[in-house]
Amino acid sequence: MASKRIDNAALFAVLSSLADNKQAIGRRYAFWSNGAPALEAAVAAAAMTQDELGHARTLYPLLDNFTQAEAEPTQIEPETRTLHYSLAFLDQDFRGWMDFVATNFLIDTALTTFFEAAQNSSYEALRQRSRKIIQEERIHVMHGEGWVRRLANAGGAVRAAMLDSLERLWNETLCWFGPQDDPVMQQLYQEGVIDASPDELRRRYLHKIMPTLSSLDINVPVTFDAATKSWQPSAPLPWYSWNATGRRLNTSGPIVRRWARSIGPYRRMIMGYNRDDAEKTPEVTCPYCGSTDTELFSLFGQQLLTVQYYCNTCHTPFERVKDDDVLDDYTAQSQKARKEGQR
Amino acid sequence: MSSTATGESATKSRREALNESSVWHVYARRKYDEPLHEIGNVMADDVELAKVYARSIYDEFSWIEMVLVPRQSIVKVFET
Repeated sequence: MASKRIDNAALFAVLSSLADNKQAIGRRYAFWSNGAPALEAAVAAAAMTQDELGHARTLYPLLDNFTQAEAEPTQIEPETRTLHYSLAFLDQDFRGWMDFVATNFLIDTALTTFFEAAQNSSYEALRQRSRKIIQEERIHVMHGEGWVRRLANAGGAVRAAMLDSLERLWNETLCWFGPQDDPVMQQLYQEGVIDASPDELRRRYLHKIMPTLSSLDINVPVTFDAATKSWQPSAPLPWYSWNATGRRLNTSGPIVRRWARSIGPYRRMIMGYNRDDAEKTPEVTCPYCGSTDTELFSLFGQQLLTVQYYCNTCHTPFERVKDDDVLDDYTAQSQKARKEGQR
Repeated sequence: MSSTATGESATKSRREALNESSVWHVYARRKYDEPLHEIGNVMADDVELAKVYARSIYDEFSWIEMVLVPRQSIVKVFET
């Protein structure tokens, strides 16, 4: 049994990182699949959550095929795993919807760039999974690009907040591929597990995201090299805080913890709607900036079951699922109006 | 490329900036010998986002074809 296991520490490390990042993205997305600024986006977020968790689920079992799994068997099952080789950005809850969009546009696309490089992998299990994942990720790319366009074109505080989220994730995402002399990625490249070196992966990645960013005049530390027709980082990446084991920007290494089983009261709430919540808070929080200085804007959102709120801080509209209170108020208002009309 | 209203949104008032205004009718079919029929609609100013929304919202069947028709392109012949 043990003799059948593959002895490959580099591949084991990268598979752990891929699975942990997918798992973390899924967990963070899940939180927002009931807090998106519009109902359509909430449904899309729920679908993407399932995809990401599904990708994690198909990657974790691969770890058991490696000799490296024998050292700590409890780290193989996602249920008992306490190591998180995922980006430090994903350690905390998203600050708002902008972080969702930034993760979708930056991290998810970076992981897809890796899977694309593994489409003809010498490791068959990764080759098969990569092809399936790339197929599903096509929709995620459209979602990420679409939202970056929307938020950038909205201008003002909305655009600024999105740029802030992109900036907080920028370096760490570019670093995930590793320094050019990263022994782990270089080994995968030499063994034909992937068909690109870290710098080449970064080049392919920038080639995917830069058209959207430059068309929106979003300035990032990247220059276009006309000679090679490729995008290159124009500022040195912060390798001084690179943690090679966790593949993340945090010198203290990966955080050690278990994902909580419950995500608390949010589970029972769908876009602010919760019929059973006795202690309903009157505040409605803006998904874009987190402000509670919000007001009811329109009784009908994009769908009949939503109302629109308006945030007075970042000056943007967003949606919530209609609450019984709103409907009661509306019924009372319209009855009053009808009576006055009869007179 | 794809966004129909992004150019306009810069000039739209801030209060309307993130309000979607384009409606897309979603048509789909399950078999080749069945015509496309309307299964619902989505709102999005960005056509790529409209596609994502339509796919994730109307996923009750494994459709063989799904298309979006912008409401503004529909020409009314008569109405009684």
